[in-house]
Amino acid sequence: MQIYVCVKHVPDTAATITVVGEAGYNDTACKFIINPYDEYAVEEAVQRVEKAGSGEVVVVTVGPEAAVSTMRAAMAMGAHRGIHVKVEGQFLDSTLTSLALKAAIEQDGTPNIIFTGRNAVDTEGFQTQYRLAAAMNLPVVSEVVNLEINDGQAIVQREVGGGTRETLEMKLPCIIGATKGLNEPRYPKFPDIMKAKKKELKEIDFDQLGLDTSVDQTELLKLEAVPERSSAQIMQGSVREQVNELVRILTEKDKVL
Amino acid sequence: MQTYVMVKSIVMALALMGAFGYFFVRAARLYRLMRSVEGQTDFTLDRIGERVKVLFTDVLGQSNVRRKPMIGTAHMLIFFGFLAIQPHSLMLMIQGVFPAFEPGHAVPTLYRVYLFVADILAALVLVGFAYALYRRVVVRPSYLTMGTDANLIILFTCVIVITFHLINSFLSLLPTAAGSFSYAGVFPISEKLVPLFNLQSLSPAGIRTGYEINYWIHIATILGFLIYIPGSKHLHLLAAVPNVFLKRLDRPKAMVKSDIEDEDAETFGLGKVSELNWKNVLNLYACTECGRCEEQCPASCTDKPLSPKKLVHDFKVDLLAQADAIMAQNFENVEPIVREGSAITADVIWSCTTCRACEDICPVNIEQLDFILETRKQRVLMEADFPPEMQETFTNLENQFNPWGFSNDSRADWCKGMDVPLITDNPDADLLWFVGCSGSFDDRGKKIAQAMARVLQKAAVNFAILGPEEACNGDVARRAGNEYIAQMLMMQNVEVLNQYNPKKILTGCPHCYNIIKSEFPQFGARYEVVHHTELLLEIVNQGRLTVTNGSQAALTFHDSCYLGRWNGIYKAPRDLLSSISGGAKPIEMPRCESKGFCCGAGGARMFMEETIGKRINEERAEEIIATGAKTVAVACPFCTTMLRDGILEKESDVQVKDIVEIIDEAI
Repeated sequence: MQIYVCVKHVPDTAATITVVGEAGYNDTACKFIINPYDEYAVEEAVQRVEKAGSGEVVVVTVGPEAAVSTMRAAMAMGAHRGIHVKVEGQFLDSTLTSLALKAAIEQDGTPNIIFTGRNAVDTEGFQTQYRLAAAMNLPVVSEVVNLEINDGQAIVQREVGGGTRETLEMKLPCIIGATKGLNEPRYPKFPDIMKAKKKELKEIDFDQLGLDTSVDQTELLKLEAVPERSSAQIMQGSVREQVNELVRILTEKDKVL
Repeated sequence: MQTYVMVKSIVMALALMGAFGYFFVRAARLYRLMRSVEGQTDFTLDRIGERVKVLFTDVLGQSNVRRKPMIGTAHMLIFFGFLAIQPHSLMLMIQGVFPAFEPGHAVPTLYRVYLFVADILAALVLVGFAYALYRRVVVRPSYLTMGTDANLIILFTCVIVITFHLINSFLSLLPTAAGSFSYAGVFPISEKLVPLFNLQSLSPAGIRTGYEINYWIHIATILGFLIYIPGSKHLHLLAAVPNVFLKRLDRPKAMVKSDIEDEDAETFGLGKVSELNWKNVLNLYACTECGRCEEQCPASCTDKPLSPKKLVHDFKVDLLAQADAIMAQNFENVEPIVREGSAITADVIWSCTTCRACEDICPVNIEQLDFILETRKQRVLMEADFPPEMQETFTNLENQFNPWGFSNDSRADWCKGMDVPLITDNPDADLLWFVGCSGSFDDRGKKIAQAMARVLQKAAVNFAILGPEEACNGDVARRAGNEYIAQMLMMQNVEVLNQYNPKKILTGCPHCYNIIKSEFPQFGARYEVVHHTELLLEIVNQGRLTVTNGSQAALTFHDSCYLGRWNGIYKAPRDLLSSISGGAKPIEMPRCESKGFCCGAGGARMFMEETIGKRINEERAEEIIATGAKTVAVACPFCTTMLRDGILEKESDVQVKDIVEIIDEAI
């Protein structure tokens, strides 16, 4: 089984990112990690190949130079090799991203399954898997929490809210957007971390793919830091005074009463 | 008679050769096994003078054994009595083969004095055993292994001592040829047995027969014992002295630094008994299962599957079971330590809080933690097998350099508006304060850090902090077996420290203190480190802080393992507490100082679930509440959290305060 896993290099959600200018930011002190949802995708792919006893898991990343660390992390989890489509900067339109992924995958081989995460935690676009499916003309289901493969059919389950799951069937090859619940991503063994450093990693410049960049439909207009949450105010005095003060704040200051 | 003497000579010669031969073959095999294991140790035989002194204090002085006064004294009586009768027994053995041998002829006075002393010491062995039996039969402490092994040795030794006395009783009655050494009047105890059993009424032939019967029982028991020793826990008799002689002479110690950059290394940590080092093996041989470690162990005391005593025993059993493969250097055939049906399970390995109570109390200086921590290392690095809740902790440490996953850039947010300088703004600071993750991120820890900052400012200390340049010290990762992340964090800190080259480092957390002091040197950073209790005591003693509001309310003090047992700091926090409470000493808990009971957080247990047995912090909370103190003073932010949780669980209103908070309130 030939499995491709699309993995994104994203800033740790715990990291503090300082906005610079209108749409710029400073990420030098910010730790980048493998997109957490993509870890479910990698884990699922690796388990499939381990179970089958044959096949290959290829990590495909569209990202900046530094994304190599994320690809190595995915390889430490068991992916066999990687294809890195190098771009400048962190933000790339999801149409272009999916076209780049398509081109990189098709150049490399014929997928039986392509895994992605349900979304990337930086842009929160929830787009790539669908655009990739459209471009490659493949069936796609996202938010998958359970997967079975039988006779060239993928039977997937996804949460539809309220604890209800729907079950869908797709023909392989197909695209699956993984989410929490699909599996427990492994913690890599140390020798696997070391081995991952030596696994094959093919680099392709985005420009070499010859994509039509005019399809770019997204423009980053502005970045704004989330306002700091103000701290709670604790009333002082007797209960009567406190209640009076509370009523005063709610009517005069916050104007909710 | 002549025939009997001849037969005795021949039988004795054969028996001695057989028993000693067997003993030496067994002992040599154990020695070969010890030299066959493939693990490395950086032990060097240095400071011989100090080690010889240890022989006098620890072995002859029995100083460690006597930390338990009753059974310690009993052990001392047995030890000296047993040593004392050895020359006598040797003399009897030689006499058995060469009847003319008589040391009394060569050095009569010396021999007489020796026999006099040995006769008394031998009798005292029985006093020691009487107490040992009382303990085993009546007291029955739960930490003691009740097995035939222990009972057999008591029986063996009692028979040896009783026959020793009877032999001497008969010796004093046997006729002496003119001019030869007379045993009459030499034995103060044995001669009392003569009238007691009316032995003097026996015929000369009867006396001779009595002597011979006791002689044979005596020698046969000794030889039986000799054969029995190498295969039993009484291997202790051979291994304890060398183990004590080769003990770690300094209290502070570092975990083993694994060369994780070695690309040829096939494994890391301890996965099989063949990967032990010779010193570990000697440790295993030296254990006599006295159970003192189990009595102190916070895991054992709260019904967890770990007992340091059992762990050592299980390692020894595993080692001996796989001895053939190890001695044949057939390491690939050696079974892993943690395997299906193995006594050493994951729960055993992960129950340890690394409090070091076992190592501290061990009378023969066994280092149980080496086995546990190296096994954890192998489980994590080679098998990625660890309590699942640690995965998030490891990821947080790797990505944000703190166990909770807060953004590391916010490391100095705890002191916003407090005018605490960063080292970049105050490079000439006298003191670099390594605040630690708890002081930087944990809500309770931040309050302690803030109190610390106020106290330092009041005392006009010229200090600075690292702020976001600081990272977790690596203690949690290292003691949880993740040497990879631990080394990453330690190297990161070392690089930062060496850039600023601080004069002295202050820590509020004993875990920071310990690792910076004892383990950062492995990565090239050697700095003087001071814990805040030591620094504050110095400041108070210098009169740089005036206590205006000293509390007289009853206090107790909880020893942090990494301050106390790991680094021997027991006095500074106590003196500090007395100095601010008008000289009143804190109320001591039954388990204090070197026997202080862990809060349950060490060894990365802070970040693991505690689902087996009673919670360690609740056990300690009960002890705190029982003192009647209104406040428990603590010197570690992790202890503070654990004890507060334990005390809340017990619905008590005892306050848990770091000493620095108490100082902050008092000045």
